[in-house]
Amino acid sequence: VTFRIITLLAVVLFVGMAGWHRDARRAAAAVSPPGDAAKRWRGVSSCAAASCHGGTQVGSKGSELTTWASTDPHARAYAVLFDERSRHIVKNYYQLTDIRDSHPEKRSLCLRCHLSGDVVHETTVPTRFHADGVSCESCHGPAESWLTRHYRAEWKRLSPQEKAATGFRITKDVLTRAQDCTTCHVGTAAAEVNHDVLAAGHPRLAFEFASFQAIYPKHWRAADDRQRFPDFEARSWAVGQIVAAKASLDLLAARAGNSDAPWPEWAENRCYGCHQNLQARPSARKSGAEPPLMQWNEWYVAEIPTVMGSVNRPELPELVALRAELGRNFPRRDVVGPLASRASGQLADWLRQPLPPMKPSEVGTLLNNRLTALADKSADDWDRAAQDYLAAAALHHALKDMDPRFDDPAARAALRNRLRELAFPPGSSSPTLRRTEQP
Amino acid sequence: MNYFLRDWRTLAVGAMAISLWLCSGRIGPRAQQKPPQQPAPAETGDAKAGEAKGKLECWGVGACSFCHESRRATQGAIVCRCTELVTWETRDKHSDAWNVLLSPRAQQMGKQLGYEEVEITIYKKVKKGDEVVVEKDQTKRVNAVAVKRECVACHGVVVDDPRYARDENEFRTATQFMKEEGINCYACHGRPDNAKWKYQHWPADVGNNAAWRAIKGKDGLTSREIKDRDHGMRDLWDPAKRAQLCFSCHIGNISEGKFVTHAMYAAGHPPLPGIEVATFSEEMPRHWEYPLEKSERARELQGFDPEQAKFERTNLTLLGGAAALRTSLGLIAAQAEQTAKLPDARERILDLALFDCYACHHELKERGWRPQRGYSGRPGRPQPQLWPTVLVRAGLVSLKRPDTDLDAALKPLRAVFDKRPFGDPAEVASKAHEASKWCDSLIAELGRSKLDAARAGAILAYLADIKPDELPDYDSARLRAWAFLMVYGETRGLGYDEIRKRRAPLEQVLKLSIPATRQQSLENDLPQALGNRNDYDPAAFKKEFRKFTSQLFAP
Repeated sequence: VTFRIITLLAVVLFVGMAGWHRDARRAAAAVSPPGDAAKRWRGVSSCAAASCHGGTQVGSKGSELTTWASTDPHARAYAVLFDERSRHIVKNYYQLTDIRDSHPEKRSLCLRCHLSGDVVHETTVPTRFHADGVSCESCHGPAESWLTRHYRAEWKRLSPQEKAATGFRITKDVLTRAQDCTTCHVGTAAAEVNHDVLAAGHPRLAFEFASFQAIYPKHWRAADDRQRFPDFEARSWAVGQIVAAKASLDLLAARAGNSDAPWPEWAENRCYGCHQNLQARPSARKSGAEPPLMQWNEWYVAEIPTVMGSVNRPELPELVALRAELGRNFPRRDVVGPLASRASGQLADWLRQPLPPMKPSEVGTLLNNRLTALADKSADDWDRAAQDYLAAAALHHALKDMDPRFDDPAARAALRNRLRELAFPPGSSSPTLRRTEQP
Repeated sequence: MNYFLRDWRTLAVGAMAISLWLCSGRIGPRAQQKPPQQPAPAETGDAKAGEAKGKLECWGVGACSFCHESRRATQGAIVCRCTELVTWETRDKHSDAWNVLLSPRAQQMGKQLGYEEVEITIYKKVKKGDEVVVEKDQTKRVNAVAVKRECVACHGVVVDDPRYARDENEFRTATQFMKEEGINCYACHGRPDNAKWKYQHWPADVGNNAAWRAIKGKDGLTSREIKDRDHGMRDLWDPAKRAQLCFSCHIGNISEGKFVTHAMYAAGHPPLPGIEVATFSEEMPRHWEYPLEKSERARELQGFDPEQAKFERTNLTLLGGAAALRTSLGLIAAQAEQTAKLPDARERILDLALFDCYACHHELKERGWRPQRGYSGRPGRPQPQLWPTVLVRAGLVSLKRPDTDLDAALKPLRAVFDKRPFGDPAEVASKAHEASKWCDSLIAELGRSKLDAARAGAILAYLADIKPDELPDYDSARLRAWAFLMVYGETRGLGYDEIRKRRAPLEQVLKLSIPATRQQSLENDLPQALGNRNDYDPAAFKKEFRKFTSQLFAP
């Protein structure tokens, strides 16, 4: 009991301290015009009652807010904007001469992900809520219209559509959940991490829904997800892949279509095509064959043929055409934009049809397919190889969920070895491939 | 064949080779060659007349060896020591410049670049009686990297005369051009379109060539400049001109066909490092003397101000620094102009070799120093290399001008690279031209301004003081350290050997020695050189450099 009280106090103190952060206070003192969004937000405190979501047992039902505040990095999303690194990013990106003028905590470009997608400009979400970071309403929706309803008996009788009409997001649904995550973790035209932002010092976004969800410190019961969907891991992988690919293609189309946006946009290209230390011996290659300078980074689309093939959908010719166009030194905006939009449209069609429950035999076939891809080490493409690994890992976990007797030592060994091969040396800012439960 | 016979023949061939080597003058007493004959008046000063007789006006080392191959400084010679060729031949890597095209790396590069195979003839010099003659050594089937204009432009001397391309010996005399000589005397001292000086500067008796020395300045040009313009002998005493000549290869010059493209680098060409011309000259090592090392008479003949001669190296460092920026801007302008003329210019990018290699070629690190340092333009848009700007800033400070003048001059060009990654070729060409003009006027101003102890002190203070928010990249740090040591050494009367000794503590954080001589292998040095770049930590350099310079200035 003492431990729980101390934990609770620590949480309260943490939330309080964040709120009292000197710069945050200064930001909060700014005049905020009461726009629509401002009216709709209720803030973390409205969820924090001990009898609602502010219980003291981290990880348990009724303690969602406590779990979030004490274990979820999203709770630090706003506070991180006061770090020196964030200030350097803004100084570099906006080419400021004095770092004291950076104020990442006031930049809408930063706030759209480090606070909420509702941020149109820096004050559309009331500044008193900023210190909460990516909090309840960032994902579950501004609570104005559902806060006082969602704990009543009548709420359970509402259909998902009726709930959604109040602004409440149905995060139990894998598709909605994936879509919510991609708005920041892949980006949108309004909130993106392009090559300029990366070079300014922002970490690379390399989102893969299933694996991110696996390592996410959950404030809900993971068992509930599996109860709802026995194929949860495989479903998350398949849906997450399509959602993330669609988001990345929408972003690509927006980048190509905006003549004010940087072009060529190198965030679309393979990082390691250019970013590698010079070697004393150049890599061996065929005579006379100069390798292309630019290659499309296929992180978000590498698995699409496999996912779509799994439900007998044809491969997308637009992706083939995009690969060719983005392999040019100077891709043509007017070719890339329509291709990306068309490909996105096809993925939207796929998402409109509910994914039928996947059978263990189907998942097994997919796993074998991905393990074969994993074994092929001829292509010098970390991103594709990493996605193959993440796919095989998700499918492996799915099979274990679906059949407790499932055991494939060869698959486990292959996954372990590949993970080791794909790891970067310590100190690298390249993505880390992690799962909570290593195979 | 029995073993004895084979061994006997091997021994005989070996003995002949050793004899030839001894006779060649590399060791032992220098081979006596026919003293040069003063050319007949009809030939003197008339290159065309020479051509009409089938003589090529493209000279090789042999033409200079009559006078410039002494093992010891020649008594009575005023302007030079006459040992120049020995230094070049025994120590200077430039004499291997063409041979390196036959090395495994260069041959592999040629294959990757898709060059064909060709048969070439290798010539050698053989001493026959009193004369040295050129003989065919062997024919070889090699990758065309050894004959391609884009390679030979820097690895030798491009001779357009088709007779040299054919397998004919009749045009080859010991005095004429040989590709095997690499960057020979002619490559730097002569002009391909005019070789009158070759006849004219020959002394009738050593130490006195009255007619050549009587050439007066005119049209507002000095005697040296007239000899350059009208007689074809490059005025290498002008520090900016000399530096620009070095940089035509060590940075690039499109109009001379000298440009290491990104494709060449990708195929294996070692990266061209930042270059501080006074330091590189010492490392070569130089085969010439600075004015202060010459006699008073020589300084008088060459028109050197004795006061300015005290700051010759500082002057070379400063003007060389400005010339480096001028050459790199000229290269950008010329390549952009070429690209802009292509029909699909707007959909093209400039050659990536024009940009800072290490803007892209670095591993991605969690706490990398680049975001910490900031950028000269928008982040994520590669800019040209920064190292050519380092000494321009020092030059501006020495003129009591703010170093921000440079930023203002480069701002429009940087804006073009900010506007679109790698810039629109036509816009780049126009803005790079403007910046080149600014640089030309700076070079002129630096050339006019006399150096004195106060100015040299201001340069040293500027170079020693790295601003708190400044994190210099690897090449910029080397430029700063090299230049600082060069100016410091000159103002304290230290020779280069002493400078080399004193810089040892800095070598821990920055590799300042370069594998410049024939005895050092660039191939062997490359893994370490690249490793040093990759592991470079600007903060550690800054700390060490501050400590180093403050110790030097300590009372």
